[in-house]
Amino acid sequence: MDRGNGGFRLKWPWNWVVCGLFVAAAWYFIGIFSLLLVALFLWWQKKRHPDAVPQGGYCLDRTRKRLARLLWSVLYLFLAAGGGVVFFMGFGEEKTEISDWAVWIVSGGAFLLFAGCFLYETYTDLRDAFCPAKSRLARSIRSQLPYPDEAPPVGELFAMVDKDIEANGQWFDRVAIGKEWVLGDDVSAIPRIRGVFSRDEIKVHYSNGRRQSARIIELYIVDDRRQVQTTGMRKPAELQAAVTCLRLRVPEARFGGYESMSAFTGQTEEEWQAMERDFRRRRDQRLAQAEGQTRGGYTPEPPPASVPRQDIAMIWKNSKK
Amino acid sequence: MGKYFSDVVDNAIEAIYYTYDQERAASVLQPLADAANAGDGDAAYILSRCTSGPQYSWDYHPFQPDDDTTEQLIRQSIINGSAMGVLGAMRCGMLTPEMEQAMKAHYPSLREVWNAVYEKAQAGCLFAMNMIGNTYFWLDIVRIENRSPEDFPSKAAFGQWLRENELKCLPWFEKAFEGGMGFAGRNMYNLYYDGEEGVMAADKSKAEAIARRGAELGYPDWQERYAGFLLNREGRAQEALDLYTAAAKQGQLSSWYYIGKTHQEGKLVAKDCVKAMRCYELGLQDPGQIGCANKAGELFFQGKDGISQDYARAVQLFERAHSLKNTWGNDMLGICYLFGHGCQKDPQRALMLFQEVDYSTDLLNYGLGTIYSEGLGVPQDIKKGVEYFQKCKNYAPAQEAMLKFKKTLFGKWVRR
Repeated sequence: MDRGNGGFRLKWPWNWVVCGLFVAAAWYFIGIFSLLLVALFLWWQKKRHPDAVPQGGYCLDRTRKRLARLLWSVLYLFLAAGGGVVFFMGFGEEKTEISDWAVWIVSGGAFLLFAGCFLYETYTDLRDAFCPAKSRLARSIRSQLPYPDEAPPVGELFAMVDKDIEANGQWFDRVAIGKEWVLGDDVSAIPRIRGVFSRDEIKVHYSNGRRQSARIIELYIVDDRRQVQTTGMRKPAELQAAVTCLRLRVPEARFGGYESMSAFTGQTEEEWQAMERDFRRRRDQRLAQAEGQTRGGYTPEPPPASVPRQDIAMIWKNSKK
Repeated sequence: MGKYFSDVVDNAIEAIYYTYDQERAASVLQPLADAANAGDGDAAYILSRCTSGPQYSWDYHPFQPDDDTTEQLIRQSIINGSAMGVLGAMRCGMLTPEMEQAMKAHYPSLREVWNAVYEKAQAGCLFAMNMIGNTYFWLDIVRIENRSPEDFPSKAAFGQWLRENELKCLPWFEKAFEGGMGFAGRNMYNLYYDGEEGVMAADKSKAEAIARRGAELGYPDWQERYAGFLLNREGRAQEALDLYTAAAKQGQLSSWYYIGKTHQEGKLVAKDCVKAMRCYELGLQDPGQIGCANKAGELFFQGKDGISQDYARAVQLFERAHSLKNTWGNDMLGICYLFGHGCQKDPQRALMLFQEVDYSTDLLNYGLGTIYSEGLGVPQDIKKGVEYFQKCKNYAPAQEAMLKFKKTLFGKWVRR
């Protein structure tokens, strides 16, 4: 337990253990409200320590938070169980109608699909939380290094990003932008950024005559290897602010909406090389201007001494003697 | 015995008032002091002018001003019978009743004093001409002639007499100026340039003609002044630069500012900030040079075009200008104090510097925005801070700083 800087904080993994135990115990009495209480507790902890660096660093905190996605695993598990029950119960039954076959096949498919999702989600969440070296975040940092195969251990990788975010980071919802790195669901090295695309769309689709909509707010960063780093966000205003910040950090990069991203990444090799040359030329110009400020230039020599000011009072007094 | 005064005094007047030579001016101080102590009242008076400040001789003569010494020397000059000393004391308010009494040991009245100087002027002494001109220009002649409004039939008649007498200064100044005393042109120029209510209207073309004549005669202070007329005139900028250069080479240190600025701007000549910096450094030999301090400070602050960024030097130079009551560089100086560039961090001093100015720049707004939004030395007021940031739309650091804050649904600005 940490009592520094304004009250106690539960350390990893005890914060998750305590929360999990609480949910398990309280579920019997208050059901789903136990989850809300836990969320409220976590929000309160965050509010009390707004600028605190998470224990272990920002990157490790991001990978650990993947545990929260286990709720999706639970959902997949329920759906897989539902599908499985229908599918396995229909094994021995005689099917006379086509619809019986259809229900049986669809439930089987759903069982396989959701069981797969459950396994994948559970695996990735546990892997990211307990084996950060193999996490999506670590892989994305490696992909930004000049020689990904010779990347240092994950501790050093995370420390590299954490240091920059702690010193220079500006937070926009779930994205932190430092001087060297951008930390989101993936990590991007700012010098490698070639394109920044934002997506704020409301997707509408109809299912069984019902209108369902979902808002997608995402930030896409394309690097010089045409790799795309994606981060989901919650607030459109924060997305715009993050894009503005990136525009200030990498003014030479291409900025646009999501619809223009595929045209950007789909450029031919010649077009990409031309874009790269233009990018470097403009960036070098900007950096040269900035570097000129710190590089050795002219430091003037003290000018030759002119006739010094005469102390007439002294001359006059001395003359009296 | 010299032509007008003693040898020492004649030599000193020539070295100080008819030439622009620092070394020569410095070399006459010791003989003047010796003569003054030996009882030469005129030597004491000339020496007193040297300690009175730059307005009593060329700005760049190497004289240390000293009010106490000035007063003692003037008293000594009157006691030792210097007519010039009496007129000089009258001009600077030192002709007290006690001194007037001391004067009477040599001259029965002020009129006799004036006559003594007038004779020298008529005999061709440029310095005496300038003194006589000044007695008219400053209307000391009223006291000298012991006249008052009661001596005239009407107030208008007295006014008319004053006007006529004031204008009598012009021929004396002109003669001294043409004869080789550049210093004598100052009051004449001012009279033409500004005019005098009820006496004469301003005549800028005549003032310019005086400056041109002074430049033609090779007086460096007039070369600089005339260059100021030409600088923004179509097709005359090169001529102005040549005049500034000629003046600077004669020791008119303030001209280095204009030469440096020309090189920094790169309009008339190729842009060369290194050359500009050299000029500013030369101008900075004058401790009162504000322009050079500011422009050199700016180059060190920005650190570009071949000049190494040096915040410590920038702070030193801006502080120098600030100590001379100039606020031109306050925005840059404030930024240095705000972020601790080249000095100890001091947001309160930064705020004070920002509040002193009556201009608006991106740097100033960025600094004020940072102070208010972060609550540095003042209660935090994010809204006010953001308002300052919003004033500098094309200044990237301000735009970036603004991203640290956001507006809530209720219109309140909060930290992200």
